[in-house]
Amino acid sequence: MDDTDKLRAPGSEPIRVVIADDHPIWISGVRADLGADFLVVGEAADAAAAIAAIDEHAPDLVLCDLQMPEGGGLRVATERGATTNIVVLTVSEAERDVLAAVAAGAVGYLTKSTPSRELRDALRRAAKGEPVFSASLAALVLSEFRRLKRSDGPQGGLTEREREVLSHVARGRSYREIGEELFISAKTVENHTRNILAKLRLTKKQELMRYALDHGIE
Amino acid sequence: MTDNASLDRGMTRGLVVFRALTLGWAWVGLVLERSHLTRPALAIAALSAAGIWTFVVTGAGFSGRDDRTRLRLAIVEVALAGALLAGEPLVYTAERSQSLAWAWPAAGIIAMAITAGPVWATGSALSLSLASVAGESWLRSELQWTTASASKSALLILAAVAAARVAGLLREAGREISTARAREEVGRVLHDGVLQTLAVIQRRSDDPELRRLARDQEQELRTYLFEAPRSPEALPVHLRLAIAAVSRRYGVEIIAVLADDLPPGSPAMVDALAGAMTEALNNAAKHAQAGHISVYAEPIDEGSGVYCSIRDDGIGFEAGAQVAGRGIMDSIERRMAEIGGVATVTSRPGHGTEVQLWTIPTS
Repeated sequence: MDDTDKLRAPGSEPIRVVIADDHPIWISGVRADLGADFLVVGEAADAAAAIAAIDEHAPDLVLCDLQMPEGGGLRVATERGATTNIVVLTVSEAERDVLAAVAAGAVGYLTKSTPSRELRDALRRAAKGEPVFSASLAALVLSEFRRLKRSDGPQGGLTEREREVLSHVARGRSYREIGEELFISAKTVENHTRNILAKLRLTKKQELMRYALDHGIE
Repeated sequence: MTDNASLDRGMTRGLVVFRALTLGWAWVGLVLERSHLTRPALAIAALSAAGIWTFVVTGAGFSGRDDRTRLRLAIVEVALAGALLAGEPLVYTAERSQSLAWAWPAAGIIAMAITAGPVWATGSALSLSLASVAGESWLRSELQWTTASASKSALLILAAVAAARVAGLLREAGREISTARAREEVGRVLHDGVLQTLAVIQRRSDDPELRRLARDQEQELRTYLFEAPRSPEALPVHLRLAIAAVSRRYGVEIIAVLADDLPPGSPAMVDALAGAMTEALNNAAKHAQAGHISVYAEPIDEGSGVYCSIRDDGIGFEAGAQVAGRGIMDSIERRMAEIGGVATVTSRPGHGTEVQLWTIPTS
């Protein structure tokens, strides 16, 4: 992930960020962490305020707590995920709501204990719309597809290669390391993660539709 | 506390209904058996006393009182029931086919069961049985210990035991519910406040010792809040505890990602996996000079087994080389073999080391 440090050419525009979290202490902490590459243009303490801030500032990136009043990160991802790069942050790594948020359109999810440098690297990539596939997200997606397989849910499981990539991410490897291991480029690894996210979104959508049909909801 | 108060209120309200219904039937019985009455006025007075009592305890808000008041109320009720049973000869001839108070005395026993537990309730039931036998004997001028009186005693004792048991179970359930609610509430508060603060400390502190401390505390808190109460014996808890122990011992940061659908695991499996993982982590922390150590665990083969990876980005070693910790690898393999599992180690100089564990044979 070190290679992403090169991405910012001297004098380039900072990444414009909106931070949404109902804990002021966290906002001030992450502000200090982001450093000069990022410019915090807006802050919000709930989902509605976050959406308003996104509409007002059109940021490059939104950092959004999963658990906030008025719908939390899930609502922000659902309503603005299609047009904005949203990264969901949580304090614990095993919250299933995260999957819904990512499926709804967030580009990724990180735990709040992610070390500063890794956080900055991940956010730089997220600002360009690249999926932020942390080890915890990989583990959640893997278990989600296991669950779908068991429950005979929507079709469209992962390919063996995709599963392999995810398993490496879950075990804590970077895209570059995974590429070396599998004899493919880091770019190809990233493409796999994009495809995996697309599949996750599709299966979630199918699941919702199936649920709606089963329950007679129009 | 509030849950138990509302449970008690529920039981008491049920008892009020029971008193009213039994008393209603006692009045009907009185009308039907009026030809056998010797002192109708006294009988009416007695049943009226029971009726007034029913109003008194209902109005007194039985459940709102402290335990001692409630016990006194229950004693008075049992005494009143005893008087009605023993005093029967004063109002009826032996030919009557329904007793004066009918099933109303059982209300006192149930009240006693709710208030004071099975011993007091059974004692009350025995006293009322004796009162009933005494009344019957007095009426017939000889000691009466008939099948009818025996079965009546049995019923009263049964009511006492059953009511005490149900009340006890309900209270226990109430306690469990309020404990769970309290834990949820504590969890929410800690989640919102303490966990967030610990996360900020980990992010902002330049002191590695402080960061480690915050991380450990966060892990422990999370284990306690989200996993321990559900299944204290479960595999994820043991793995987290093992990870936290190594992290503390060597002052290293270990990133643990455990799938949320891990099986609970048999004790042997939990022992083997947690033991093998601890050894692999110890090895990484001691010899690898790693910047990062990460653990990943997921179920395999429909949850019949578990796969686990312990990885570091340290110095690694040449395949087949005699390295420090080789003996540990043998011990890891032995542990996994004992439960029919497999362990492998992959390493290259400069590319870290990965120990992989499977609790079942891999295909």
